[in-house]
Amino acid sequence: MGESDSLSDPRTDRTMTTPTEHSAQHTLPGLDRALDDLAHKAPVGAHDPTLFSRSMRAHRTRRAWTSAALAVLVIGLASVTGLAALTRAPSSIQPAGSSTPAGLPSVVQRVSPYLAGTNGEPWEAAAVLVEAPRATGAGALIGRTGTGILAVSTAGEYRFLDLPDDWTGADSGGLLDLSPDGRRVALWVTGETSGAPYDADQSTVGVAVLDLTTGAVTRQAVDTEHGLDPGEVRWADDDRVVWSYTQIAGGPEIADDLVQVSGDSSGTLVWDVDAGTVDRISDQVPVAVGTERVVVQGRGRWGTCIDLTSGSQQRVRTADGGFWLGNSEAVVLGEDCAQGWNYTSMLPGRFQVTRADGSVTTHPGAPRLVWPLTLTASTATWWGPRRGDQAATIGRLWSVDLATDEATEILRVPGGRGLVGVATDLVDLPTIEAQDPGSPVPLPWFTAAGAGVLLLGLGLLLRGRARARAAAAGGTGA
Amino acid sequence: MPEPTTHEHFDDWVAARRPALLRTAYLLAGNEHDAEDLVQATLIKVVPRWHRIADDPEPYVRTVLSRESVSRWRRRRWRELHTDRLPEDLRTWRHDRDVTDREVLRQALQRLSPRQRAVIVLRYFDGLTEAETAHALGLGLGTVKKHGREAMARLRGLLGDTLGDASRTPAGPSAGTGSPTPAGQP
Repeated sequence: MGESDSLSDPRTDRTMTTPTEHSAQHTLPGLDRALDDLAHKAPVGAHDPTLFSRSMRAHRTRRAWTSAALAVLVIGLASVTGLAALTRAPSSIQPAGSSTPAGLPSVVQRVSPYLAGTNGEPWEAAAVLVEAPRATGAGALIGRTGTGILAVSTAGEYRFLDLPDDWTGADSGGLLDLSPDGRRVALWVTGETSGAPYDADQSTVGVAVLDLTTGAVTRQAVDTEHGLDPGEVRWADDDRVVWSYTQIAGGPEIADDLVQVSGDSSGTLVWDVDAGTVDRISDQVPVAVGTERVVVQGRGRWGTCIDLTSGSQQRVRTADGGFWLGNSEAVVLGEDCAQGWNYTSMLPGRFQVTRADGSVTTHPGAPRLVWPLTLTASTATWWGPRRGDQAATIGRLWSVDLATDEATEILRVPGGRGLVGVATDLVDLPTIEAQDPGSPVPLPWFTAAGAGVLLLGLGLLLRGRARARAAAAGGTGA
Repeated sequence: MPEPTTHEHFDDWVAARRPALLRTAYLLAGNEHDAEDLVQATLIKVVPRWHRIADDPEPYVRTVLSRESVSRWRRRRWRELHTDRLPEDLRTWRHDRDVTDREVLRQALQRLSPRQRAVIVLRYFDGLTEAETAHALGLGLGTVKKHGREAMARLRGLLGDTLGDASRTPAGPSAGTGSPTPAGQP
């Protein structure tokens, strides 16, 4: 480097141009000599014989602290991650045997938003589904929650319901329906369209059925150019799904003008899930779905009640008198094609039953209803607020004697959470005491612990550097 | 005769090469105090690897020295104040030409960016090729060429004909030798 010696020659194997070969444009004549002249002002200090030992001590100190920091990071982060996984893992499921009768829980308790989900794995039949705050994804790390679907199994276990990734989502009209036995969920799914999709991210292309007991998903896709406008998807019994849709007639350019440009209607379709068959039983759309029966739209005040087993058809007066306000979920179809519905408004209102012969009865003494669920000749069950409560801060499932309007509470859901589905086969069975949903440790706690471990590791690293500097300067570095 | 230990070998090498290291460091750092610090920090860093580089420590030490000069400048730049122009009196002060020319060059080097300065020192004082300079600084060859061009242009602007005068009036010990090799080389 500036002086001659015999230890090394840095110029060996030189292949590039040397400064003296530079063109005049890129050189500064006399620069090398001037640098050499200036370099002679450099200090001439004596070599410190302790430098080697001090350097080695500093090196050892730095290495020890770095190792400690890495150990803290690895062990700490692994512990935090493992603990988070352990505490969030669902408890072992006790299969519902003969000693554990299936039934609806009497109360759906509030649960932690960090409760485990079904995660597509085999679980149990669900007795009831309600909306509940749920923390998922990256937002869960900082405590952000969205709306999830909380399921209580027929054995009383709580779990968030994880639906297939291609579920259209509730915000996109993706209604879902729980089968009467609670074993399966029918829902709308998105997918590829043959033409420009109406919604690039969420174009509905068919229906699917999730079997909660196996985790299996069976899909029924429809050939569609731009996507489907979902209509009904309702269970007629434990195996058959009644559904309907309208083909969307255009791509994204008609996003705000759906009604005017809707294309062909599917009519009423019946999907036998186990058999894998889809039958179109009517050109008209369904207006009420009940056990093995469907009422399809007719002319004016009248519709047609179709028996799905025998195929027989019966002309009936429709529940809304020909002025349809909502979808078929607002109407329950009972025995003998009787239809029960909320005749006052979409808000909690009075229950009215329209019989096939056109006779109509109202039940002003019964609790108001939001969603009718079952109807027989003598009783009905429906979802509504507690008696006299329009705000519905506590939703209840009522069983009502239609002769007396006497109401019995079956199920209570505190907290103003909406009902998503009920296994209607269970409404006449005794309720059960649900299991304790547990209190999983909130993920933000683990996030904070992880951040603490990172800070500790960083602190150790910085401390190690400072110690090493001290050792290099002549201190002990200990 | 017994083989020298690593410690002894290090001490021997440093005793022989320390002045040269200090000269390069002085050009890189710009003052005596920082030059000594730079050499000290460099040697502390190379000691743990000495047993691996003992056969030919020079390239590795030079690499650490030049990179350390750049990184140290980054760490301390927040507390330094730079000016874009040389003091006018240094350009015109001529009654002690040797002192003035050195000071003008020293300050001109300090006006360069750390990488530009390192390229100039490695190329024109240590006599490295562009490829060796690129390797020492951990840069691409094109980057070294760019830094070299920009540094030269800036030095020409800052120094004017100062070096030309200096080359006609040798001032340093190596001046006037007529050697085509860079001044810093043996």
